[in-house]
Amino acid sequence: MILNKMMLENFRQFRGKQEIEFVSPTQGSASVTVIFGENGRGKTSLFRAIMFCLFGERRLSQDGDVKREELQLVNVSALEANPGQPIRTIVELEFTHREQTYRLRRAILGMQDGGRVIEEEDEKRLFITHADGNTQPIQTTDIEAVIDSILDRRVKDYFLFDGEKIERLTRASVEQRREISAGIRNLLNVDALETAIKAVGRLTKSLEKELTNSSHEDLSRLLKRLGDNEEEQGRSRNKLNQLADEIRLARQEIDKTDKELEKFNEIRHLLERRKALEHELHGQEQQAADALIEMRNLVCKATTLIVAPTVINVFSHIESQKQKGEIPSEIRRDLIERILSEKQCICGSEVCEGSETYSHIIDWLKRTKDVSTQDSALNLWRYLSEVRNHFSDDADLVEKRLQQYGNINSSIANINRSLENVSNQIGTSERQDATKLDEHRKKLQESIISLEANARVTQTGFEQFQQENDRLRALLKEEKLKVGLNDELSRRSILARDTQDALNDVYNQFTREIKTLIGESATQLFRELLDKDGRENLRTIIVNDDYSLQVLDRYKKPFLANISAGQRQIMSISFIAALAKTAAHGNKIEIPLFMDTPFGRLSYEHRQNLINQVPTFASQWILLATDTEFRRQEAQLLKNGGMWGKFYLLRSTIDGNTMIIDQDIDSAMAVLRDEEDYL
Amino acid sequence: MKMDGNIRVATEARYKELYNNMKSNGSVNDSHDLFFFCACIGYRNGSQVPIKKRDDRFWSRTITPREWACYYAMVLENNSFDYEKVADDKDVIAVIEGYANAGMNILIDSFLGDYLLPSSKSTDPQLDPGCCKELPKQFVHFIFEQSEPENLNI
Repeated sequence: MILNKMMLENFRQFRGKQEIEFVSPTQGSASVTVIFGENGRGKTSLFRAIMFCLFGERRLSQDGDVKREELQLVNVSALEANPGQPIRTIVELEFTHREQTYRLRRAILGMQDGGRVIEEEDEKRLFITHADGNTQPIQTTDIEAVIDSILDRRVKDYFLFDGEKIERLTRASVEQRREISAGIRNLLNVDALETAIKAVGRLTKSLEKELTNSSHEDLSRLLKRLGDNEEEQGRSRNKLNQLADEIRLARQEIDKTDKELEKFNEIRHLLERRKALEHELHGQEQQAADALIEMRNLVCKATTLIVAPTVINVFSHIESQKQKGEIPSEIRRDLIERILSEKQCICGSEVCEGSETYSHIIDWLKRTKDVSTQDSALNLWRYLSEVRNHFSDDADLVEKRLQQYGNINSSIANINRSLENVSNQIGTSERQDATKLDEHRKKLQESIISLEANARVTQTGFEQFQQENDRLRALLKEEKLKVGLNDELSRRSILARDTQDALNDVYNQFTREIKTLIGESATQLFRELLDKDGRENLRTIIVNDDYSLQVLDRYKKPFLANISAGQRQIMSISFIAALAKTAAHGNKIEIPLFMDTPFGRLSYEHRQNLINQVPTFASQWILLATDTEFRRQEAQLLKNGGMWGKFYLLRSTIDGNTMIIDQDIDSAMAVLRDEEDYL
Repeated sequence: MKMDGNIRVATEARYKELYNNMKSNGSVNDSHDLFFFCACIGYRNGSQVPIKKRDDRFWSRTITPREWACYYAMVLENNSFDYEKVADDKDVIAVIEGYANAGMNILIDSFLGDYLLPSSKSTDPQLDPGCCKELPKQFVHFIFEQSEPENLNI
């Protein structure tokens, strides 16, 4: 699918008729369209317009639980300018797919009714122009099916990368795991299998419930325990989902409150300061978490310090034995024993029992160990020497890590104090409303902390139930075999449980395969996008069993906790691109790829790699960028690559709407700023 | 002193959950790390408590050579450097299990008790997952307090 053109009429902040022509690979080598504008100018609205036109959907995954009425599509100022009149909002899309050109048009009618806006579907039309030039209209009832066959609506969101999603993906949280799990589940496309698993699960449960009343006491007891445990686990799972929802809602509410607070101009600088402090706090908390991981790894190394005096003492003892020639002994123990038994020295002289020579030899024997003891003692000496040689470094490292952690914590405390101070200033503002909003915000933050703690406890409980379930299932299997397949009910119950296990195995196998596929694809992209240093150390991205992401270093050890914010961003981009590639069933993503402010924390080399590499794996790249991240340097890189074909500027008008201005690339350079402009 | 990898190392049965909790919540990397930590504390404090109810915890093959070396050193020092006492690894592990058991008791008394679910303390201690985030730091701090820098300038 290649986008050619989009026409908008009274769609959100775009008043009147406006048009964007996308550069497509069919027009030559260029495939990148840059849409440039400050925050709030409507960059995401353009992606929303495409999704609305294709699927009639006004909600994107990033909207979360924002109410439908807040996702109004009809342009507000057009409504206000024509009171009592219906306003038509239209999005028209022209795209090419497998040598056929599609023209899709979707419209809604909006009207102000008192304080609210009513929006109703008006029309949808699709025309397909075939390669031979003939145009065919498609029945309204068939349009959804035609579009779904081009792009499955379940995977549509993978083609929009937004900065927030990128940031969220590598955070170890319930939300993150849920997002990745949902992404993979959508790609699996095994609805029928899921329905079958649920149905067999219900059947198994009902049969096993009947079996609990059977005469086999142990079997009944096991079944009851398994049933109870599964119910408890289900409750834990529901609680986890509910907590994740509550956390997500609380975060959305904070964002909403922040937007409300932004209306109070006199405290805007304080709000910005608070945002910056919160960002800094997040960074420090991440550093604290990383420092804790480093300390965990240090524990096993540095524990030897506790027994340092013992290590030194035993080492010195063996060392002195070595110096005295006792280890390894100057003469072999078996030789001494032979002299004593034959009572004759190697020089031929006689060794009489009770003589001075005899007692010397006996002393000698006492000091001499057998060969294997000597070897072991020498080995021990070597290991203790190694342990001993590290004492000084380990002790330094212990002190350094504690100091480092202390510094991070005191920095967190300072930031928290500043945050409290700024929050108080916001609170003491004359605006009562702002104070209330701020209190509301504080409560939300507190509730997120407590919800997250609750989620951690619930997660541990959930895992324990899972372990118990596995154990009980194994016992049940044994018990059923012991009892035998004597009656119809037992046979049916065993068959149902086996079928459920088999279906689950198939599902898990599918999931494992797709996880591996995405992991491999993400790794390939990751290696291409990383800078030289990163490539040296970071090797593989994997999707863990619990759906969290991990990156392995060159020694195949988990390294996520130690990577920089920029590397995290590159990792997330690689993962989402891998999802998109898998969803597009190919090596090249045949669906237009939208990236909303992707450069945020990237170093210049990472930006350079992204700019050079994305056009190699995406057929069409639509880059939505702000002035702070798309500067002359980035523009020059795109231009040099020869892939950049179009530049649109989103400019605000006096009435608060947005104009789409088509500019040629050379004049675009004049609009952009240099890095120095921000210093 | 063969560093035999085929021995089942046991702890007191009531510490099973605690060992599992510590591993699963990331306070320690593996059971043998925690066992080693406890054994060193027990030995350092001259305390050895025989296990009442044994529960196999891990295979001795996970014990690193450095850890083995320290175990041998403890047994040798405590037995006037009699190499016979470290000839059989099973005997060494049996002695060390006693130190590790005592060490765990000391650990709970000194700081770990604050991180346990109150209801579990008297029976089978369990970590309170809501408040044990900083445990790795507490471990490192404990090492720092127990080590004597003046002894380390070799």
